[in-house]
Amino acid sequence: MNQPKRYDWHEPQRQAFAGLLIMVYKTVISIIKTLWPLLLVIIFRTGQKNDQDGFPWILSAISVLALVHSVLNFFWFRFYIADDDLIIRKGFITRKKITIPLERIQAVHIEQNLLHQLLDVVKVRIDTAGSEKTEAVIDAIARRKADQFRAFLLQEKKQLAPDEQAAMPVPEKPVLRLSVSELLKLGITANHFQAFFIVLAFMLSVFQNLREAFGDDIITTVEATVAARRLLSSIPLLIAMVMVVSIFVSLAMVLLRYYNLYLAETPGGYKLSMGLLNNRQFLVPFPRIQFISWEANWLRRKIGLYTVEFHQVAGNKVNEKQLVRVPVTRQEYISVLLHHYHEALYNAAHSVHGIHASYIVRRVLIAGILPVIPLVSLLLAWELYPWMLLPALWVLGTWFNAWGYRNNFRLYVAPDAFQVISGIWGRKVRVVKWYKIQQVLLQQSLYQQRKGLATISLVTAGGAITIPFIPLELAQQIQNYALYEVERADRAWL
Amino acid sequence: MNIVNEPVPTESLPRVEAVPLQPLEPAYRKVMHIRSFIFMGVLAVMAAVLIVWVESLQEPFRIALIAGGWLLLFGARLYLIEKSYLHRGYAIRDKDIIYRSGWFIRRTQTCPFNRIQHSTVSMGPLERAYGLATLMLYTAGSGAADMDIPGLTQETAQSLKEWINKKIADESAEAI
Repeated sequence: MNQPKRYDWHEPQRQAFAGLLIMVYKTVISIIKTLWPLLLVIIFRTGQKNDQDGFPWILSAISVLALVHSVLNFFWFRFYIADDDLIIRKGFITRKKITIPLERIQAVHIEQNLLHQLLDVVKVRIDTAGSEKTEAVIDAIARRKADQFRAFLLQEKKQLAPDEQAAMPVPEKPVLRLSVSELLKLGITANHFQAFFIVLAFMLSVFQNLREAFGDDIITTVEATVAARRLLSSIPLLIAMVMVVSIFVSLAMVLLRYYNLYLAETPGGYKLSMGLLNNRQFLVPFPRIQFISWEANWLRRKIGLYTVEFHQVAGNKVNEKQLVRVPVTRQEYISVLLHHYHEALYNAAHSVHGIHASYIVRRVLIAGILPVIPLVSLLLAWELYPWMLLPALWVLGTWFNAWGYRNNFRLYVAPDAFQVISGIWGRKVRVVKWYKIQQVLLQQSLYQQRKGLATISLVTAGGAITIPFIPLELAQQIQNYALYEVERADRAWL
Repeated sequence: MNIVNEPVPTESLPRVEAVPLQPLEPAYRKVMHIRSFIFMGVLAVMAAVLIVWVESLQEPFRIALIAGGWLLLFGARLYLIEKSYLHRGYAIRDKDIIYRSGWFIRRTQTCPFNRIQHSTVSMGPLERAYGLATLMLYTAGSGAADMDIPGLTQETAQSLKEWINKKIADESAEAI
């Protein structure tokens, strides 16, 4: 067995040579991304007489400069340890020296996208509590070296801050994997509306870019195309096509995101890796979990498919990429994932509460009737009576939603945690420990004051949980109890 | 960590709703009114420009309608500011700080000291003119978890801030 090479991390280290390729690749991609309409124009307009404007020359000059810049950056890049700090030196022209105290390191992520996989290197991302998250990245480093580096960093961190729970990846217990058939199930039951809007947004942006590049002519050209005209004339066909594309897109999205999902439990937290083109690894340290939720839409609920989400401390904004979601195919897994936080409360709860029926009245008034008043008055003015069906359906829809929400909403209260179940067709369950709360907000509109009701928001560092339309007295009890639980002892919520 | 979980009789818990609140400085009411005047003034100028520009609006009835709407809004704002000023207030307890605001929708925000990350005092030009300041408290997480208490005298805001900072420092010292 060959002993792996040991590195002296106090010596400045370079990236793996493959990093050069990755940097060049990134530069090329960013050039193409920003300049693609221009490139299209150039490609399509060659042969026309306005070649003398020197556009292509400027463009190639910019590209060459950018490439040279990325090569210089590669050779300038170093990372090393000095005086208990991790130092990353980057940027040849705008020089940057990033200093991260080792004890501040929250997690070390190792990631691999397709290019990394081809070149057999990994990307190392160092997570600190601060906001400058994107900065501390080492783009390319050999896998074994990365593992050693991570182990070293976490070891050092543990020595410097022994009372903090260091996230050592070594002894891990596999919890769950996702098979391809389970992935397919997940993809088919996904929310296709979301995919539909993504497809729509994508098409609109392409359209916008084309228009900017070619002027308005393109639109008439497209419209003149016979196929497009035929498609537009048969709306059912169009709808069917959009539906098929949406289903395809959401399947692809699920596959891209969750392919090869693997979740393991380590002493410090959960370790999660997934992704097809972009293999991502997450570390979810147990103390960072603020609350846990799991949800299923109507279809997934029928076949017992849930998505568990760990709500961690979010920085200034909740970034879609930071959300840690784990699809589970059996109910038992939920309790496994809850094990380190707090088990679900159904039977263990001391009391169960619903929300008041006047919630429905209020919702229908504010979300149903008020918004359609202008429309209805217009329809009345123009005497378009048959169209009145539309606002009527809207009001009915909001009523049904509010009615379903009110009927399904449950609050379970126990001494150390509470649980909220909500949803109209699907269900979302949230389990929150009282002491994870950061702030309590009690609200009462004039209407609620008359009815003796209130809405309470329990704000955690991972998001707020709002319980609408409960009796004022109950809301006050919840408020006072939450504050008591937070204030009675200093428990580390992070 | 000592987690004793004896049953807690909820009636005997300290009650937020029973705490008498300290009203905001009367000068803050003036500041709110001046802000409202400025806003309504800008609105009036905009409406005037619109009337001069768009000829179809230059009809006594339509002008009266716009003016009426403006007056209504003005009156509503006056009323709401008066009402909300009476309802606003803050209180400091041993372990947390309470701020109540709003009138149409009454909000009571409570923030425990052991969750506050840091605090600042901000003074806008108008506030400075009246010797007022806003105390801003930041907790972890998103912007929704922050708390602003306006309408304090500058001395109060400053001393509150120092007091809270000391409290935070003490708590973290105790935790170690």
